[in-house]
Amino acid sequence: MSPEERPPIEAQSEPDMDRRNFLRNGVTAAGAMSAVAAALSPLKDMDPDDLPSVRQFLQKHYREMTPEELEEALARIAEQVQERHGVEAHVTAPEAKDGVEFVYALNLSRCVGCRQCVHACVQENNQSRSPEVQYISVLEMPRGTMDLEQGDCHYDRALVPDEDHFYLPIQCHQCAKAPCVKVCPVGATWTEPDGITVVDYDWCIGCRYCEAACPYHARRFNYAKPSIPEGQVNPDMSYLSNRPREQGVMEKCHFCLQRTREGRLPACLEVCPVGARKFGNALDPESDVAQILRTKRVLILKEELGTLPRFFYYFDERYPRAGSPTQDPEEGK
Amino acid sequence: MGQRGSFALPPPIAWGFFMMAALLLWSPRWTGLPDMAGSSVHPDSVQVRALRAGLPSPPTIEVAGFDMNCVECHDLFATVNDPPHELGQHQHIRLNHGMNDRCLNCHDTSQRDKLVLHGQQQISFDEVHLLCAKCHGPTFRDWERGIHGRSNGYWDASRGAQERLTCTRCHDPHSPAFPGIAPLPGPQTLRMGPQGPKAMPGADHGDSRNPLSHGRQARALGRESESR
Repeated sequence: MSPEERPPIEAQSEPDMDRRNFLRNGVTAAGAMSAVAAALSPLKDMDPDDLPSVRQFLQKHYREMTPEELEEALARIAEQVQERHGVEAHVTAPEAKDGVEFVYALNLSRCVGCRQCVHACVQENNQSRSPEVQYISVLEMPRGTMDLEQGDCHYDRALVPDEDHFYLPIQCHQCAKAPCVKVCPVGATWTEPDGITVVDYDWCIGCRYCEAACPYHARRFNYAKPSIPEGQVNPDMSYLSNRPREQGVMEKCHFCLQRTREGRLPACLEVCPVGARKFGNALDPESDVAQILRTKRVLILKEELGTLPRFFYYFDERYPRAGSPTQDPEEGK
Repeated sequence: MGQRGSFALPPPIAWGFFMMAALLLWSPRWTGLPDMAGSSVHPDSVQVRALRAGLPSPPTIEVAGFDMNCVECHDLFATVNDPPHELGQHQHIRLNHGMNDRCLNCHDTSQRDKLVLHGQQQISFDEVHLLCAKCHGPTFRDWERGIHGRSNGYWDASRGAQERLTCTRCHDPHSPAFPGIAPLPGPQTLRMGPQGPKAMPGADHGDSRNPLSHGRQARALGRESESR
């Protein structure tokens, strides 16, 4: 077929649409579509259970929910826990009480670094066991320094305490000027009136700005789907604290809000075998912590950052340990 | 432009798309963490209980299979002074209490199911904190305020009681310093080191969870030169 014999109109006006260009464009389009399909192929492995339900998707921010909407959200969480873990959960949303400001005090003279608090916290607060999420890091510090860089949280000794080290557990300091709250782009984390910085796990987008902002490395991210072994789910849950989390959200210590707002002591405190941990209402002058703040040598970590933590460390009066003979008879007089 | 009618290869952009598709299907994406069958920490290893069981007051002691009260022997065999020799009885007691190395500093001479305060006033075993306060003033002051010692229960007295323990519920009065405790396992780092549950610490140091400590141990054992 010579060019003169061609029909004069449409084909001439679209010279690109010959067979070769059709094939080339077709192959390119097929390639592009296969690339898109391959890129989306991980979706076929997706568990529909990982997708938020419609109710969850339409849920409002915790502080904007009406009491009825909150009730509905709590019911949905209980249902989800029943479905995933087979546990009948008691989900609450206790509110901050007036005249209460929670403060934690930790006695560095007493802490022996046994890590009981770390694991009591994991069990109380339904943290993921694999991958492991722990709110408390116990640093083993060499004698003679408060430089946190020199601390080691991986120590594994047959027995603690080691005589050349002291132990410095770190968890969320519940700062009054919390850098993590300032940086959250969606307002998913905020400080409650009783001083606890909380996270709305349904509102968090997982950007991890707060993790980067926290000077105490207190925030933890759920990189993978959290897993809790069967039978180890704590059924006493609250919305802002220990209800099971999803993959891709931040979490952190909340002073066991589900316990402490009911008047109980936090799990890490109750388990401490040496009584190094004290917790209470700083606004009550007779409380343990108020007396510690008044009478002990109290310090905070990284004071130069101006975060105003509500987590204090303190020391006891120094006196010879029982069993260690006093060298100088004048000492201590 | 190629010859008209001859076979033409797809353009480079199409090859690019196909290679991208192949790469994505080959799946260089994250393959997930190894499956861990449960936590390596058994729930029972975290317990809210005092270190020592409470003694009945007055205390009893097992002699030849019988629970005996102190007075049942000591009324017969009165001991007025601390014996200068090894005790014939009570050999399980190791007194490691600093300068306080005399039984009768605390135990009453005449009435053995009592403790003695200032050498005269008898107090029951329930009031042992008064005796400890004789020497450990600052600690006693803290304990009275609720600052010293472990506590369980409620911080808010209007909601419930806080359990407070007396001195001997945690401290062995004959050897009051705490013995060492085996620590629970440390954290597993997500990106560093081998993943998976580890044995309890101390059992085998080759099984350390600390990815940095392998190098440290090698150096400590003088194997550094061999590995280089």
